[in-house]
Amino acid sequence: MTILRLNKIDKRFGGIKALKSVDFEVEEASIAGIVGPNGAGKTTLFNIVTGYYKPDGGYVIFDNKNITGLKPHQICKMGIARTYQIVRPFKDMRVFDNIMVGAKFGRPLDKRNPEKWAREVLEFTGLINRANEFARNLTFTELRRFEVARALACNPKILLLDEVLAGLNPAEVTVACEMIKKINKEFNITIVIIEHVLKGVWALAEKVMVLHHGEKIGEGKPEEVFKMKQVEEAYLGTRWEAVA
Amino acid sequence: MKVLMALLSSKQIAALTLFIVVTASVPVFGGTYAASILIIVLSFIALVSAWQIISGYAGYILLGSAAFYGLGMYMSALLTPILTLYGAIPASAAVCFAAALGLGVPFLRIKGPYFIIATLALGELIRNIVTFTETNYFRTLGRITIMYDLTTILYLLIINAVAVILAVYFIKNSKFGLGLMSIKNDEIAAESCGIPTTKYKLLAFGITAVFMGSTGAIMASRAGYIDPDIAFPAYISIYTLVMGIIGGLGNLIGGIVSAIILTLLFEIFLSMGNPYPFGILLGILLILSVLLRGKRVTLLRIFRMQKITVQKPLSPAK
Amino acid sequence: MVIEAVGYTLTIGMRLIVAGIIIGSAYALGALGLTLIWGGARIINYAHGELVMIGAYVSFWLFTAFKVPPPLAIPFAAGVAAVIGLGLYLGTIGRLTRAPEEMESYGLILTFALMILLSNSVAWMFTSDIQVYRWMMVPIDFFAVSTLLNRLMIPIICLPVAGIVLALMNKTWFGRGISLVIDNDQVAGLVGVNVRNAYFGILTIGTITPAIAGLAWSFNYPFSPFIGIEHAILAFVVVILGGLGSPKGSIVGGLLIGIIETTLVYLISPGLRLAIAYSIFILVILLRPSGLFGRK
Repeated sequence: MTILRLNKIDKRFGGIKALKSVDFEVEEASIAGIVGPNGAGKTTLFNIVTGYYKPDGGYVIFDNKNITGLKPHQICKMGIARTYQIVRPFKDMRVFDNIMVGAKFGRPLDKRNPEKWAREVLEFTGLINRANEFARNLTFTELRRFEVARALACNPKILLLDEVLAGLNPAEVTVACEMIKKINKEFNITIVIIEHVLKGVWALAEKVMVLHHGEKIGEGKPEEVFKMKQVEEAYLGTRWEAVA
Repeated sequence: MKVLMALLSSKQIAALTLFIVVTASVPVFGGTYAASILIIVLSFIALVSAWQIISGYAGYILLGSAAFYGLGMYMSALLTPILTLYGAIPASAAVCFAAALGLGVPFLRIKGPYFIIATLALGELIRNIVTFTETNYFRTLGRITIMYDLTTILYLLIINAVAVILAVYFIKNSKFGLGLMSIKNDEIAAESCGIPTTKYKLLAFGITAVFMGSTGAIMASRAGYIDPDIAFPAYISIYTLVMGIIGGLGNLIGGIVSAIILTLLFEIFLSMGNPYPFGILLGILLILSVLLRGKRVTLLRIFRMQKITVQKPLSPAK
Repeated sequence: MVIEAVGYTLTIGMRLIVAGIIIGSAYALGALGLTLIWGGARIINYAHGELVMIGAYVSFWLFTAFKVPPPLAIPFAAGVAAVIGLGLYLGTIGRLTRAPEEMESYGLILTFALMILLSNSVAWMFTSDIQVYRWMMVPIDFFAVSTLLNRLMIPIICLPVAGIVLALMNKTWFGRGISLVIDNDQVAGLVGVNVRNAYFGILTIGTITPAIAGLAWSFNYPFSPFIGIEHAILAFVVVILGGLGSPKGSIVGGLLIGIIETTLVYLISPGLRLAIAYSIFILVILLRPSGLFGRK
């Protein structure tokens, strides 16, 4: 079943077309990837899904409801949570309180206790021993996990991850990938992950969309997309080594 | 009362009781002069505590307290003859709440330093408009208000101060307070965590205005006569902000302590016939509280400066 | 009949524009300092109005005590403002790190503290009474507009000073360095601009110009130690309108605000002069925070 469907999304900034008629579908409980070079429109797409931008054309269907034009906090309450490429912790609050924000204001937790849920999330992401620390004191890698933890605390049905692997070393990438897979399996949460390079989502995504200059230039399984001519051209000379 | 018992620790209840007993006994033992000073102290305690909601918690530094204080005064002056002071206080507070909601829609979209300047301009704007309407349409500069006796005013202000303190305390420990503090830290991230930021900011602004308005409403019946310069003085806006910052943003007790100390200091200087050294002292204290933040300076430890986070401002044009 | 009406409107229009430029030139010069400090040193100078006030008091004091005509008092006003500005800056804001986060939050509280400090110091020295003094108060016809000579002295003092500052900014290496710092201080440092000296330059010009504007203001309108807020808000209007860190923008904005203000005051009521200025400010900040000439 399709949980998230983008239909002919257009977005212009001034005279620049950031997104041109982009279609994309995400299956429930799957992991999907969006890749593309800098300025391809990946984050813009996330901002449209989460309600920060209103698309100039097209609509977003989530869970069989049209969510285009809803406010970001309403969309979060319906079950779409996101992380930011440049982390945005509530710096002067303790890690635990940060997570509690997600637990209290995100999608309702049915009958679960928010505090228990926050603790569960912290344990899952390995931040439980940092719970009483101020968020400003976390290290870079911890902050990456922390962003995922806060989004996860919002109890989403679908989790949008914006370049969560960037800047991590290979060992950390492996750990992070394991964590993402576990979120997908154990919590049954659909995941859409943005990456700069195909390699990032290679091991994770069942389906990948490649964006270039705001246009979809390829879609399919990672290994199929990898072979596509136009994808090769989009990357060639810039990031080819990294992709291969 | 039972609800309070359940929500507050025994220490807090003791402190609050002590506060009420001490303040309420001042007119009995201290005489009129002490009571009249206590009135000023209590009104600043209420103002600075109310200020904490929008500025200390939500991070929108308000430099326009005089706008709501003065609005409360004028509404009270108009309504007391009809409703008596006891009816006029809640009515004035309600008008302030409505005004804050109306003003908040455009103003709370302004970020950072711009918000501070804009609210300063707002207070001055309202003062100018009221002066103009009064002189040109009502052919008067001021209005006579119905005075109530000192003790009544004092007891009303005690109730008012305790109500603000309790309200701010409960907000701080509530889901609403958690939301406000997230907004102060990062409004965009707060919105994406499911916090209805616009609604929360408006509500915080409204509650701040309610208590500033109720304080002004009571003070109108103390003044006996009000005019725009009495009702909307810039120093109300400035002192409230300074007390809040020296006491610590979001630090309820710090704000109250600095309100007490600074008001008393001001009265001492005023009684010596020269209030200006107080202004100089205030400036120096404010500078020290910024420069010595985080350092263990005994004198200033109660004025512990907390990390100030203001909303991200716009970048300068290039 | 029609010609007469048109002629009348033209005369009125002319009068308003001249009056607007006269008062606007003082706004422009004052705001020039604010925009430089804001754009260049990233400090929102809440004590700006106090510098205007200090300029007024220096001139007032020299005139009443030693009969020094205001134009000759310019170096003194500038000197006093620069010493106060630089001294207080070094003692307070200079002690913060240059991290933009710190500058934005603590910097504005520090200048706010300076505002309280300075206005009360002057009130202590000169009392808080409203002061007036007369200099060159003779009627004069200027372009068919009858005005007073002392009014006319405002642009005669302010516009050349503003011109000198602009020329300094555009024509000298030091000035271009300052422009670069306003644009991007890190890049400016990389291409060999002495950023530290540029900051001193910015602060010196930024404190001197409002003081000179205050000097020009002082022999025309009454003033007190607490007029700072009013002048600060007016300068904020001009700077926001003209775009942060844009010296030309602040001059155009200053003249524009002067003309708009005098026109609206004429059309509505003189009692609403400040209310009009504040409303313009709030509207601009709500509708176009990057200014009329500021790029986004």
